[in-house]
Amino acid sequence: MRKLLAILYSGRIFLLFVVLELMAFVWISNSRSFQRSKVLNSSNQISGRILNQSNEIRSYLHLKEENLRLAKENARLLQLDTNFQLSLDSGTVAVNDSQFEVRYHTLQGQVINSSYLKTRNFMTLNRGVQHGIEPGMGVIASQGVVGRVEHVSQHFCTVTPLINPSFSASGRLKGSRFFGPVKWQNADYRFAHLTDIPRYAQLQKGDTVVTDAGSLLFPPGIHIGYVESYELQEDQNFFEVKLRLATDFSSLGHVYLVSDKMKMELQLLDSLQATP
Amino acid sequence: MTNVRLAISFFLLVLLQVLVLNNILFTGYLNPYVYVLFVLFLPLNTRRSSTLLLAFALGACIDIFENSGGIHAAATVCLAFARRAFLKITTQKRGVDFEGIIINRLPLRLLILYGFMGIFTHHLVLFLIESFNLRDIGSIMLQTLVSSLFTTLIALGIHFSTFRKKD
Repeated sequence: MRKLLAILYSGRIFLLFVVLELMAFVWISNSRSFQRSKVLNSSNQISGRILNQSNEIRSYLHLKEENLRLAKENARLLQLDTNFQLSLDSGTVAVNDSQFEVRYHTLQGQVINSSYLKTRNFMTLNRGVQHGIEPGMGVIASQGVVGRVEHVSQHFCTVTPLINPSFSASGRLKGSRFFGPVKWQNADYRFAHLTDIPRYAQLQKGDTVVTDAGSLLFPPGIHIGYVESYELQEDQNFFEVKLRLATDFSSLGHVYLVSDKMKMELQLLDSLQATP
Repeated sequence: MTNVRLAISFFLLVLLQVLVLNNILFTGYLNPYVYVLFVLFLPLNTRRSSTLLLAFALGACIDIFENSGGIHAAATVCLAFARRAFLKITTQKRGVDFEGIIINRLPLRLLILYGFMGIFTHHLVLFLIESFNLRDIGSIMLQTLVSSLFTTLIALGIHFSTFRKKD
């Protein structure tokens, strides 16, 4: 003990020196944020490196979830891209889509059997009850009107085409209000006749005849045929117009079946008008 | 009487350093810290613990005025601790001969050598703590060397005009 005290006493000057230097350095590190941050940095270096490594490993374990999250995010951002959106602006008028309601539903179908040279022609399509087909639905092709669904089975349906005498559609001269029934008359699958066009109507060869809005079968504006020739009927008041049919019945493949959502509504209204 | 002279020189040196020399900063390298003269010229018969405490107090005074937070205290305590070793190296005296040395009466050659060694050590410690970075050790050494030479020059001027005359 005495030896220890003696050693301490002999080194007292050095101890005082060390204590004073320590005091000075405490003062320095307290007063200077730069030196303090240096000291803290070096003491945090080891723990910081360990934490960094563990974080790297953890990020690898969560890579899958992260990818999924990023994919979802990408999809969400793509939807915001204007290229992925249909512009509702028609160019001149702002179109509010709530002002329109879908009236016609179309369903694609294929002609699997057809005739066009007989006096009563028929067609068969590969669509039936399973696809939601009902008798009375309209059939159109890309060029124009085809016919009307007659009978429906589970997977197929038969169609009465325009080139059948029992079929009749309402046709209108495009660009005017004149309309009349279009009928086929056992002649040529390329031609049909539009009757009851007033004689004061201005007709020209090549004029287009389209479906009328009064028709319950087709949407308005579907091409039926083009004016080939015309002549006054026997009563001398109306024209009988010979039409070159828009649809080529000799080479039909893909057709569209059209269902009118508002057909029942219209028929009900018409029947109310008729009954009293 | 000696203590009164010491106290006066203490305050005069602090004031000289704080009010005059700290406002001089020649080209970014010359920082003369002449206040170390007090530690260098403390009589050898002063108790060693008193020397260290006085040195700390002196450095602390400069730090308070300069708002440098302890760096001058650390450097000055360093100088006070190393002072006797420098003096032994310079004078090559031991034992009773060494204790009898009066620093003011040293030959000028030895005085300059002793003074420069002390001043250089003090400045080196000071600038090292100040920058706290060993990467630009080169520029610190240059700054230390130039500042030490400049401080020694000023110290010599002060020494000749005051202390030496008195004897």
